Amino acid sequence: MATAHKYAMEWTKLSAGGRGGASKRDYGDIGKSWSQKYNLIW
Amino acid sequence: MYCIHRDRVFGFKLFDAAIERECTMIMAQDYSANRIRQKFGWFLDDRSETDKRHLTNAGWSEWTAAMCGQTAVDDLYSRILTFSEQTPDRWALTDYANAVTGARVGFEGRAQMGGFGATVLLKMFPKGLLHIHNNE
Repeated sequence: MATAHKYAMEWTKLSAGGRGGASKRDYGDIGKSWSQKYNLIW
Repeated sequence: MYCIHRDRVFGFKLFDAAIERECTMIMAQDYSANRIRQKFGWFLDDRSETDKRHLTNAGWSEWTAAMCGQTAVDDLYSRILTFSEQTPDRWALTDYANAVTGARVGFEGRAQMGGFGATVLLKMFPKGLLHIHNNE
């Protein structure tokens, strides 16, 4: 759970603004993962 | 955001801060009345405000609304019902749709049905599956 919690906190930071901030984020280097990128968008 | 629904289903509570942030933004009267909640659905994100397709998607919105509570669920489904009854394309269950005009966008034969179970799942397991496993 500690690892999951650490990841969740990082994801929450990366997704700042939620859906309202989608256009303001830079998705270029996020984990090099298609799913991670789109999780941050929507 | 909609993927976080599983956090609530299992009851991990890893993403409570993100869920609270998102639900507050969507349901806030002053912000979202004209920017997220539209006649035929909720905008997917802020790009939908300026993109002429004004994208919404019932499935993704349903997963999100389920996490935001009954008021949000009622709000969203009233718009989905409006869409189903008034979409000029008569394509009541679609993937992308225009939240402003009610037009179907792109996909055919790709109704997203999973989201209809989002609220039911959370009502079945209000504390999450983890708590059932732990006999709480």
